[in-house]
Amino acid sequence: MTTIGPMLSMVCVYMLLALSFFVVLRMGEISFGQQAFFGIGAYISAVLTTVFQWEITSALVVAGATAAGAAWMIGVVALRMSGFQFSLYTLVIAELVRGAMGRWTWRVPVDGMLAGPEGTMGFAGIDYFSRHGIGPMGQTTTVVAGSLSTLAALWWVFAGRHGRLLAAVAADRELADARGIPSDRLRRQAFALSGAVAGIGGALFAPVVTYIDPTNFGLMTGIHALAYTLIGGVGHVFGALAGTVLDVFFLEALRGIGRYRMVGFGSLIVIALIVLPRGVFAHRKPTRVVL
Amino acid sequence: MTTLQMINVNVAFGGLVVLCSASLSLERGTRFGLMGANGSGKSTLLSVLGGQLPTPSGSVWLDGKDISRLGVVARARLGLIRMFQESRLWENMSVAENLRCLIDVKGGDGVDRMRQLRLELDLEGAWLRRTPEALTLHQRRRVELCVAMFGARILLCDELGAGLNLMEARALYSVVHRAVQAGRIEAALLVDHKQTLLDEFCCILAVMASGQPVRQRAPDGVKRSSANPVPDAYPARLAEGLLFCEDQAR
Repeated sequence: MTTIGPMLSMVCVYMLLALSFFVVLRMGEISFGQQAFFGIGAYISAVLTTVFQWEITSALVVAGATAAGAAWMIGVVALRMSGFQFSLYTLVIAELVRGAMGRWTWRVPVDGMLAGPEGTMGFAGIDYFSRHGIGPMGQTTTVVAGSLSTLAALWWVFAGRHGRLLAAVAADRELADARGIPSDRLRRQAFALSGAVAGIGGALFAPVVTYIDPTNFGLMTGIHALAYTLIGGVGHVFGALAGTVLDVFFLEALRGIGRYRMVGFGSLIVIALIVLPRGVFAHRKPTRVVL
Repeated sequence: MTTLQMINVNVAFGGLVVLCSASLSLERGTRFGLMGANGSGKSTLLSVLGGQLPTPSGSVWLDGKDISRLGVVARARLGLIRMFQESRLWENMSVAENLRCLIDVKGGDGVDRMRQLRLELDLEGAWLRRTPEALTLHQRRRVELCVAMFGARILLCDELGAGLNLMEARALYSVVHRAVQAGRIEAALLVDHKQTLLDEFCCILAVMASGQPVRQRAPDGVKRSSANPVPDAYPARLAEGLLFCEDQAR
């Protein structure tokens, strides 16, 4: 039972990363780079809570906003592309961001100890929870509350006007433009939103694991989260949740076979593609419409 | 009064000149028919007006304002709506959502306008819950026209009747005809191969020749004799194309 709490936290955090991929998928593109925003959020929240000793809620807001800002700026160039170009571009940017994290060393004394990111050695001693005397129960509650409220916010966004317009942009951008739906603006907003969601996920991730380094935010992290979304399906925000739960619990159950776990992951993808080619929530539910 | 005007536009794809100092003006309350052989530049002309293609030389004017540099979205918001030749709707959502997207973007009292349009176009309630792929082409075209006419001041139609039989096509054309006559739409530019349709529903007719729309009939509505639809001055190849298309329409 003692592992359920941390596992639940991990499910929630990775669900947010998966949701970030979900937002981009609903925009009609496939990103391979959302883990960069996850990483940006993690580093920002680590610095804010550990070096500046901020409260986690304000750190979450700032981390989300910073990641959204980063996504907006990357989007300026990335969103001029589509399809394969877009995917490749996001991948390259994510690797650049990871490279930058590996070069960021900024150690400052906090309570007589040095704290801060230390290049490829990562950022150790993110002690927000222990400093505030928050136990495992409290940690899990914080993470679950943070991620479920983000999930609820996304649900609200996609159930309404914006979800509908974004679906139109994803289905036929040229038609959307020709009918006065500003596809460029909507895509920029959606990409910034995807950054914010990943950023919040990262901001919750850092204090839970207490130690982060650039390898946490590599391509494989992104691929896993993209797989969660695809297994869960892009028909509903719950798809990301379903996919993450399925995959994380499945992988945990395979701990016994050690290094061959990744074979299990591959098999899961193959089986999912055969049994549920479009995921658990395959079809987008029509939004409620007043006409 | 002129609403939409195009002055001396040139468009070339590589070495192929498609529009060559093409000019056109659309008066308020008119249905302007434009015909021409395949590849004569009809769709290109619509794309220049709608903003899908940039205007490298020449200019496009709406209500006396130069809109040559405006993008597609801005033009659509001014009410200049271009329809596409192929049937296009947002396939990933219900027909109701397709319509609702327009209200979402416009805001305000869109619901009443949409209700009125649905009546004009005879859209059945049962279609609304379906996805566009579950509709027949004729039904789809009606929905498309509804999507296009919502918020349209000037409608640019690219072969509204493509793929439909003459009766279905006439039903669609008559909707546009009535909307223009009632003043709900200021003007319409109708591109089609089927001369019979344009003869019936347009008050001005032009033929694309050497990259320009050449006016065939004065707005007084006098019909040309259909025995000799294309003047001798046109290149033989173009004339053949036109006659061929006309045969298809019958």
